[in-house]
Amino acid sequence: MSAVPLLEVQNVRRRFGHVQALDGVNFAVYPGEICALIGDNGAGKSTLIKILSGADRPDEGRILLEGREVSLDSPLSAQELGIATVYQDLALAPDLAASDNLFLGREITQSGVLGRLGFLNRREMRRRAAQQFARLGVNLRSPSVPVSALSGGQRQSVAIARAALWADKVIFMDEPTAALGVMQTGRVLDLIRHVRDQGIAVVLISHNMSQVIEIADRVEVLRLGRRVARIDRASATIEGLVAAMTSESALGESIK
Amino acid sequence: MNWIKSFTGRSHEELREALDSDHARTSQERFNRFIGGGWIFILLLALVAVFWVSRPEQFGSAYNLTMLAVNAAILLVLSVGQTFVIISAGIDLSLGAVLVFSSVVSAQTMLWLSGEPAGTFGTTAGGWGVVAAGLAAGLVSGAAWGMLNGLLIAVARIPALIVTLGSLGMALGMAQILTGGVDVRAVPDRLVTEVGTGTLFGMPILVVIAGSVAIIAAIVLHLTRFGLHVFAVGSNAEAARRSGIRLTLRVISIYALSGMLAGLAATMSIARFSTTTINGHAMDNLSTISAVVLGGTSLFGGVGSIVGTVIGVFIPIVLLNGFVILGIPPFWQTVAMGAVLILAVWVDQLKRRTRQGS
Amino acid sequence: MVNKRSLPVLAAIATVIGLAVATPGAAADKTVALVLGVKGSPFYQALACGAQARARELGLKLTVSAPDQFAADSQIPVVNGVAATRPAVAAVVPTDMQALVEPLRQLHGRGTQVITVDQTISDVSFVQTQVLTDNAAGGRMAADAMNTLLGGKGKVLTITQPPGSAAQDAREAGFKAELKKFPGISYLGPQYQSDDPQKAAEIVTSTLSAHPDLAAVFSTNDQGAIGAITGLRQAGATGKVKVVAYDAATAEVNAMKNGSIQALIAQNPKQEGEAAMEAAAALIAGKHLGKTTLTEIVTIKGSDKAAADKYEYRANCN
Repeated sequence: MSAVPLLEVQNVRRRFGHVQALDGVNFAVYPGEICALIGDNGAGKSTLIKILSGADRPDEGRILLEGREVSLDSPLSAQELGIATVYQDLALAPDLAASDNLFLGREITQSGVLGRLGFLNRREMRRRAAQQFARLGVNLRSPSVPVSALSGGQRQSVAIARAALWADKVIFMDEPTAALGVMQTGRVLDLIRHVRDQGIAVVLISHNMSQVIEIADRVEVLRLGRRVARIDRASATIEGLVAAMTSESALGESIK
Repeated sequence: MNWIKSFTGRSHEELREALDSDHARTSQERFNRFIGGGWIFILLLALVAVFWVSRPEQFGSAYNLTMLAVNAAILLVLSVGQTFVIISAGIDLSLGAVLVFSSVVSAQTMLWLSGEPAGTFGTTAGGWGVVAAGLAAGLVSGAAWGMLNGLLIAVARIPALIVTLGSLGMALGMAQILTGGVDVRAVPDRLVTEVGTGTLFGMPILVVIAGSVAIIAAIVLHLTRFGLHVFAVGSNAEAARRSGIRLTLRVISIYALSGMLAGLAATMSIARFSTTTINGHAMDNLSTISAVVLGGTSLFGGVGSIVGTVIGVFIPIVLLNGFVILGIPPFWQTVAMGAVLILAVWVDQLKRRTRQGS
Repeated sequence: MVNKRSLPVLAAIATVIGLAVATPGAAADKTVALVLGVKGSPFYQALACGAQARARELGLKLTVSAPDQFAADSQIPVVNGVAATRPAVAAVVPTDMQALVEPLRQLHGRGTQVITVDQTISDVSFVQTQVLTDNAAGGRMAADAMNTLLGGKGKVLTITQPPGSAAQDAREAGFKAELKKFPGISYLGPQYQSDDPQKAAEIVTSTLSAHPDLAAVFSTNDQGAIGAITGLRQAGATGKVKVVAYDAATAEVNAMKNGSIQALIAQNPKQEGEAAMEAAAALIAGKHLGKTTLTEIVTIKGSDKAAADKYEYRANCN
C-alpha cells in the first residue's frame, strides 16, 4: 500500500432535507487494490458513490485524486479524470453488440473525410474490444450478438470491461454479482481481480460478507455517514465486519 | 457483408450463430429464428407472385409496376423519418400534418415568388429557382416542427405520443389558417412535369428521390456514429446518457430529421398532385407506423432497419393494387391490411422471445 | 418446416390465392370500372347499387373500387390500379378537381374511355361525358324552399365544406344568388366544416348565441345537416329554427320524419349510377355523348313521406 491514496475523501458532508446522509465521512483507496465499501442500509454508501462518480456534489469536504484536490462536476468529468462506475442497473444498451457498447460515446471513426462525417470503423472497434476482453480474461460466447442475448454474468463482464477501458484509475462497482448465479459470480470476481492486476483500483459495494472476505484486499466500513473502521484482509472475519457495521466498537483499527 | 445486416437488422455472424447455435435445438426454433429474419420479404414476394400469376398483363405490366413505386415514394420518405424516430424508442404522430403544413408553406412561397395572385388555378411559370425556394421553405418548416417536437420531448419530458399528437393538431390547424382551408392550386409547371411526372433513365424522378433517401438513410443508420446513437438511445437511453451522449441534442435532431423528411415529402406531394392536399394525408402517420413495424422495427426501440421499412411500405400498396386489379370489394382490403399488421407484430413478438430465450 | 407457427402465414397466402382464383379475368371489351369517392358513404353506396343493377341489365362486367378517404392521395393509387386493368370504360368520382387530372389522363392514354360521375375535374378535354347534377340549381331550389318556409323573412346561415369542392361551391353559390331575390331574408353567409358533424353542431350553437333570432340553416351536405340538428337539439331550438338540407341520407330522412329537418334537396345517386352505366354502354357501342349528362334533383317537403322514402339513399342494394 503506497502512502498516497489514489482517491481520498476528507470530511465530506451531504444532507438531503432533514437527513444527514454523510456526516464528515472519510474514505481512501490505493492503486492496485480491491477495496470493499460496506455498511448497513442508510450508512451512506450510495451517496458517497454518487458523489465520487460525479452524479452528486458534496456540501462540505474535499476530494483528492492522487493528492490533488479535484471537483467532480458531472459523470463526464469524473470519467475524464479516470473514475468510472458500474451501476447495478447496467449501463449497457441491450440491443447493441458488445463492441458497440464498449465504445459507446467514444466510438472509433474512419480516417479522413468519412471519419469527420461520422462513419464508424467497426473493424477497429471489434479488434480493440477483443483485445480488452482477452486482457481481462473475458470469454464471450459470441462478441457480435446483442448483449441481451448474453448471460447475466457475461453482460456484467462487458459492463466492467467497458469501465476498465475508459477509467484508468478507479472503478466503483455497486453490487456487481447481486443478480448472478454461483458460477457466473465466480467468473465476475475473477474479472475484478484481473482489473485490479491492471493497476486500476476497484471499490466494491457489497452486502455479501463472505464475498467481501474472499475478494477484498481491504475493507472500509461506513455507519451513519461516517467511516467507523478500516480492516485488512488478514484481520477480517464475518463477525467482525458485521459488528463494525452495526456498532461503534469494532475489531481492528477504528478511525474517525 | 453489411447488406445482410441492413437487410435483417443482424450481422452475418449473428445469423450464422442464430442458425447453428446450440440454443436453436429443435427445427421449430430454427425456423422461428429464420422467419424472424426475412419473413416480411418473403410475404411481399408471395403477394407479388400471387397477383402476377393471376393477372400477368395487368399486375405485371410496366405501367403498373412503375405506378406501385410512384405511389410508394412519398410514403417511403415519410416512413424513413418515422423509422429513425421509432428506433430511438419515440413515435411521431404529426408526420402527415407536418407534410400538409410544409406543402402549404412551400406552395405559397412558390406562388408568391412567381408573382401570381392567390387563388389561381392551374400551373405557374416559376423556374427552378422558385422550385428550390419552395423546397427550402418546405424543408425548413418541416424541420422546425420536428425541433419543436424534440424540444418538448427531450427537455419538457412530455411523452412523445402526446407531443406529436398536439403538434399534429397545431400543424394541421395552422395549415388551414394559412390557406383559409382552400388548397393552393397554382404550382410551378416545371415542378409538376419534370419532377412529378418526369423520369431519369426511365425511372420516375419521385422514385429516384425516394430511393436515394432510403439508401442514404440506411448508410447513416447502420454505418455512422449518429445511427449508432439512434439505436443506443432507443435501446437504453440512460446508458446512452451515461456514456456521454448528449441526449437532448440527439433526440431533437432525430425529430428534426423526420420533420425535414416530411418537408421533402411535401414538395414531392405538390409535384405529384399539382396542388396542396390539405384534406389528404390524414392517415399517413398511422401508415408510416405500420410500415415501420411491418418492416421489423420494434416499437420499443433499439432494433430496426431501413430495408424493412421499404418492404413494409410496399406491402399495403401491393395489397391495395392487387385487390383493385382483382376486383375484390373494398372492405376486404381493409380487413386484409389489419390482419397483415397483426401478423407482423405477432412475428415480432416471436423474434423477441427467441432472442430472450437464449 | 411447416409447423404451428408458420400456419397463419400460409393461411393468409392461401386466402389471397383463393380470392384471386375465384375472380376470373374479365373480357376486356365489356369491362367497366367504377371508382367511388370514398368507402362507406351512403350516397356512393346508393350510386354503386344503381350502377350494379343497371350494369347487370346491360350485360356489362362492372367492378367497383373506393378509397379509404375522400382525398386525392388516397384515391389515386386506386385509379392507378384500375388503369392497370385497362377496362373499356372507367367511371370515376374525382375527389380533387386538379390532382385527378393527370391520373385520369393516363387512364385515357392507355385506351380506356373516361367518364366522371358526381364531381368533375378542371380539364375535361379527354372526358367523354360528365354525369352530374346541376348543383347550382339545387342551391336555388333550396333557397326557394327556404323562402317558402320562412314566409319571406329571417336570418339564414349556410353550413358547407371549405371552398374547393366544385359541387359544394356551386350549391352555396346558387343558394346565395337565389336568396338575393328575397329582400326580407338576411344571409349570414357560409361557415365551414369538413364533413365533421361535431364541428357543424358547434357552428350552429355559436351562431345561435350570436344571433338568437336565427331563423334557418341550410346545409350543403348530409354531415353538416346531422351536425346542425344536433346543435339545434342542444340549444333546444329544434323546429324553431328551420333546416333545409342537401342529400337524403337515411339519417336526414329520419330527421325529416320527426320534424327536425323541414325540407330536403335530394339527388338521385341511384340514377347517377344508372346513367353512368348507360353512358358506358353507349361508349362501348361506339356512340358519342354530350359533354354533360344531368340527373335529377328534387325538393322534398317535410310532409311528403312517400317521396322521402323514394329518394332515400339506400346503402344496401334492395
